[in-house]
Amino acid sequence: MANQTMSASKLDQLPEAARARIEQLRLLFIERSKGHLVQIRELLVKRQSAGEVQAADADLMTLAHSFVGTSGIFGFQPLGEAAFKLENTVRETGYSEADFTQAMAGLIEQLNALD
Amino acid sequence: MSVTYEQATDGSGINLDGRSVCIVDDDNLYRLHLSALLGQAHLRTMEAGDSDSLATVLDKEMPDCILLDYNLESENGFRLHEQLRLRYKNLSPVIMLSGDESQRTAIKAFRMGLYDFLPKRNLRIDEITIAIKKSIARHEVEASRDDEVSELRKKALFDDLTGMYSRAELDKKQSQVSATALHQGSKFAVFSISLAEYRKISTNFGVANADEILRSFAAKIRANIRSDDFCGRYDEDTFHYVMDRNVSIPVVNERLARLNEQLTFSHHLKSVELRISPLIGAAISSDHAGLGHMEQYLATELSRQRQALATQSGPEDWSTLPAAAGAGDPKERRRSSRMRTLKPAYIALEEWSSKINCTVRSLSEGGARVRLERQMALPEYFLIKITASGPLRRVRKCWHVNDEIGIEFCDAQE
Repeated sequence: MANQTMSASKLDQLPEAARARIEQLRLLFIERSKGHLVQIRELLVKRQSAGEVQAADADLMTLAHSFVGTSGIFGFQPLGEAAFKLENTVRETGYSEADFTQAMAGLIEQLNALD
Repeated sequence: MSVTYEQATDGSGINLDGRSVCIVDDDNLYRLHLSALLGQAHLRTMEAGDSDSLATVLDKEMPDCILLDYNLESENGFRLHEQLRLRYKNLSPVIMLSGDESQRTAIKAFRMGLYDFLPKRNLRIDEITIAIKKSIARHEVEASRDDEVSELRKKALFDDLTGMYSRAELDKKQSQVSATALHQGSKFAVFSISLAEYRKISTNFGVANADEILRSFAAKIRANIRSDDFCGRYDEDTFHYVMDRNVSIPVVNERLARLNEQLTFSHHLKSVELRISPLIGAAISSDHAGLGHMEQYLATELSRQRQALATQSGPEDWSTLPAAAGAGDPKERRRSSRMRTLKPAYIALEEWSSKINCTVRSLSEGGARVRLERQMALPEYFLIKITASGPLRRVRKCWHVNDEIGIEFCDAQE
């Protein structure tokens, strides 16, 4: 991912132990995010059922909000931006399904790109 | 704002090496990562996931700065900040980190006295360190001004909170009385009178409320001394009353009894009733080798009384109010019978949209008796939701004793 919290050169300057620690936490964040991706897929299925849209959207908004808050500091700014777009879309009353699909696709793309 | 102030608070003069920061966030991974990054900026970090763990950290060591998340799992950052300000007089500067970027939230943060507000989205570590530097610099400038004001207060003749003699003036007058008594071979007496619960009131209800009670306490002392005696503020919660004419054991005992009686009173903070009582020690000069010895004796005596009080009441039960006391007793005013219950509920404070868990112990059509998880100050009006499926109802607090409150439903009156 391009936008690291610290630039590559700065990370290289860190002591080995600190670099390893930061990398370890970053990997944990990726692992957790992959788990959230599974939850998102489940919520998208739930969302297809009649009367479940509102509940599923509330959960999706919570997950998106969590990405907005955390992605930046882990160096995944595009993920934060995609999550921010989805959160704002779902928050709007009477949003269009097309906007939702586009915002959701953007978030899933960023989550799939995590490594 | 002067140029000097701006220059002093831009943070450029602050070195972060060895400074400490407490990260308050309910996301463990976020805390760990931010801690690792700040560590590389030579900051020493502490962590807390909620208000309880934060209190544990702050009781042990006050950091140079606090990074507080706006949305903790079951708590609101604004509400928590308000509680911290009430509890810690020397609270570090607090910077709010938030996923909520609305202008309304940011404005509210600054109005509520937070030092900075940083949106979490795209947040970079250098933005955080700059904000920390600026906040520490501003805090140091403000603390330095407070120190100057404190110094000026020390030199003042009168204590500006209670209107009594200040400590410096009190010491001067006590020394004069002592010298005169020594010269004339007469006796004088010093009473040391303390508002025992000042610190606990300050912790639970805030410094302003504690000071209001202290003012009231001081006024009662002044009203109960003889016209030719004098008194002054000795320290934060203690006053000295000096009697230098017609001093005898019966006179001192009579005054002790009178002060004990008059300084035991109930004080109402809105609808919270607090029972106030004094700790009093008395020393007569003829029993001691000088003023220093008298003061030493009085300090020991008050310390002994404080320990005895702590043993009686226990660490949490600071108020010795009976379960239903005086004006707080709601029994007489109930319009409908109240059923005993054990229903989970939560209180929602409108201003901070904060949730406080509680239990409804009895319930009627018009109101309820509610037990809080711990003692805390609550506004007169708030919202309550009884059980998960119940409606959110607006209520008025009728009484508040320790961790229990009596409420009436506002919609039931309409």
